[in-house]
Amino acid sequence: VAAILQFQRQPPSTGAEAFTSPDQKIPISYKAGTPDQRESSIALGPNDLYPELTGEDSTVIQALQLIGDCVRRLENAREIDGATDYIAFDEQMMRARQYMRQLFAFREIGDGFGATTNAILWALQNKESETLARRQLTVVIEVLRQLRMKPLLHFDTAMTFMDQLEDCELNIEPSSLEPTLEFGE
Amino acid sequence: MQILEDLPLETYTFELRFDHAFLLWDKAGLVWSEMIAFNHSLKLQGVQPNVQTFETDSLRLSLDLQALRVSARGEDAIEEVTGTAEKLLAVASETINLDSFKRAGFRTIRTKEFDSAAEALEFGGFTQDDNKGVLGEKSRKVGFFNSVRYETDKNGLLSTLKVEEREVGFTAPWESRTRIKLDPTVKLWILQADADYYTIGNIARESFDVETWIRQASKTTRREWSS
Repeated sequence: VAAILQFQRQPPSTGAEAFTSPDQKIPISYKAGTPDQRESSIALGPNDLYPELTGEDSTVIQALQLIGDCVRRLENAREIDGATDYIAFDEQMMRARQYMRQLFAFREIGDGFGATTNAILWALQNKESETLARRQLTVVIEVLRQLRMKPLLHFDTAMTFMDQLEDCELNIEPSSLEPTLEFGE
Repeated sequence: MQILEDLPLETYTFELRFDHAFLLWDKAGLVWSEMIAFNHSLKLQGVQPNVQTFETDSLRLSLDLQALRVSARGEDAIEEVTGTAEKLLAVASETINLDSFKRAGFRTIRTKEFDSAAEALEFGGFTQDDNKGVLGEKSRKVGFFNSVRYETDKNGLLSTLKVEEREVGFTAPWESRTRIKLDPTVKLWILQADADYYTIGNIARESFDVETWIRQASKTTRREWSS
């Protein structure tokens, strides 16, 4: 004979009291104590969602830290005039490219993450021999900040980021593919 | 007092709450077809337009207009709840267009059974007395609760430690054609530690990684229970 197990518990005391006014057609509900759910319209970002985790705890946290490091290098580069101090500028850009290569290794986080990091990686790689315009650096930094807020972005969102990069005349395709693509056309 | 280490796991439960997802009325079948393809052991337990529930021996999944929940028990409970929640969220996000959440919650319940209230109280660190109440000589205490809620403006933790009497009975299901119904035959006392870690605020789907967030919730819960 099949049987099911039933647990019969004493109901916990909630400290709540219900009150209905007999004088009114619409009942008034009153509940004492701390509300079970407090709602807020504050938007929670990664720092709020994972406040105590380190890179050792999660690959997502590692990736977020790398994005932060990369953004700092790009911001440093943006402050330098590449025409007059190319070495300092290039050093920051080399570091940023290094972080981007590491970030690409985290593409398993999601299709959108992989597509965005790949696009930025090639955008920076294809500009290796010349300095990026401040306008272009600003777009790359902004896309990376968005990526840091939304690491699990949908591929469609990544497409809008790629459009932003291309709109400021950054080449997001691997340069070695260009002859192949031209041949295909 | 190392409650977390000393009490056997009862369940882990992951929950996401969201604004009414009315597409559930149109696409519930698609969601659950994909979930059954993901885990062939899932069996239908209850289905209504507003809520569907599927179970295995160790898992329970439910999806309603305003929340999805995954509960797991057993040795691999944390892996099961994490992997299944990731899949259910991925499917639900695509199918019924979930793009933001009002609350994420992760609840851990650990329970240990005892033969007497005195043993459970001692184990839980509750102050013992003569076990008599204010209702007279015949009255007795049947439940002990100790709750604390911590909150910031972004997250919170409700932690409860309780000792209460639990009665276990058996009722044969209607399908068995038997009329066996045994009144509670086993009475025991349980010590239960219950922690619910939750967020306060809006969460964008593209910001939220289930596995990472569950790690965060587990870390906070462990610290609370080991303090």
